[in-house]
Amino acid sequence: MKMNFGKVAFTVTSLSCGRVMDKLAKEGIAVFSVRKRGKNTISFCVAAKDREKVFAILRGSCYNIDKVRGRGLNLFYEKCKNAMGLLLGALLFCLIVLYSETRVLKIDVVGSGAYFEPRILELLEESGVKRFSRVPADCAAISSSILALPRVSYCSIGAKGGVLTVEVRVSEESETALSGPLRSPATGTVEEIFVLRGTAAVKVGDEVEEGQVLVENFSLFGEEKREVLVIARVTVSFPVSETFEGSEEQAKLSAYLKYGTIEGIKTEAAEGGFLVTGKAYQRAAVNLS
Amino acid sequence: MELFKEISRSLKAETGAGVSFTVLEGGGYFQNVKRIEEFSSETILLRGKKGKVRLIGRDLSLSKYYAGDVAVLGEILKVERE
Repeated sequence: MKMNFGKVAFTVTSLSCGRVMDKLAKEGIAVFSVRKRGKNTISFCVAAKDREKVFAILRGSCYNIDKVRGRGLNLFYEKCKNAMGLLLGALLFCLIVLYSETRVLKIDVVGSGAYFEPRILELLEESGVKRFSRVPADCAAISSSILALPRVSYCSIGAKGGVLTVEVRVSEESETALSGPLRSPATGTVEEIFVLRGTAAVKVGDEVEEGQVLVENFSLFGEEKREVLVIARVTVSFPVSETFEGSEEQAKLSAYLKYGTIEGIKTEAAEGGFLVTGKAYQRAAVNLS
Repeated sequence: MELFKEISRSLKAETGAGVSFTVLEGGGYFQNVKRIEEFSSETILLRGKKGKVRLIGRDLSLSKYYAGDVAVLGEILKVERE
């Protein structure tokens, strides 16, 4: 695509330089900035729209057109055309930078409460914030859920250059944390065990007794065992088999009141009421909500 | 330039024949040029319908040449009619 604005500069070698200009002027082409460059060489400019006419008029062995170059806007256009790949690359780079500013590329949890990082990442994911997701517009809801964590006294969420920084500080002067290991709340099967600090003594699927130590209050630092404050949560499932008085519905309600959620609940008429069977869950946590 | 015609009329000179010109500091403007017979940075020879005009100077160049009008840039030291 030719740009017909601006000027084009020609350098022509000819035995009679004056005739070059006469020929062009005779054909109605205005010639500008004529300069002698050598014994038989002149340079001049014409309007870009007359470029092809100049070639047609000067066609022949008497005139050698040594160089043709755009001037002004035309030159700028020619340079852009030659560097199109570079320009497209620069444009693509700018677009990628602008787009990545709106995305979370990395999440940093900093501050004295940084050990809550796994839980904080969970809370962020629940709010739809994770790697490559949109930067959250409103962080108030996320901040309030992080502030609900035990002993967390300060939380701020900021995003800059694709990095989401969550600063969490814990208060040293809050209520005394519970020390000691985490024990099983019921006799059953471990369904979930989540340990932020401490050493897990069991794994998911293990059968445990009520009161059994599930998370020890020590951690290994190299080969050294050091006592730590347990921060952990566990869920144990156990079978339910109990007779409740009243109608079938009343028996079910009583069972829900006593055990909470009961999975696969079944009722059967029995002496004194209804036998309710199923699987219930009991959760225990230390220094963690 | 209508100015040239006015000046020619007041001087009772023939118009539209030879090369008319005006020279200022930094260049000059020439009308009724039919051909450029010589061109260099020291000498420019312009031919009109009647007669020729030779410019002698330093660092001469043509700013514009179109429809018989020539604008010359540079230091014009002498203008001779031939």
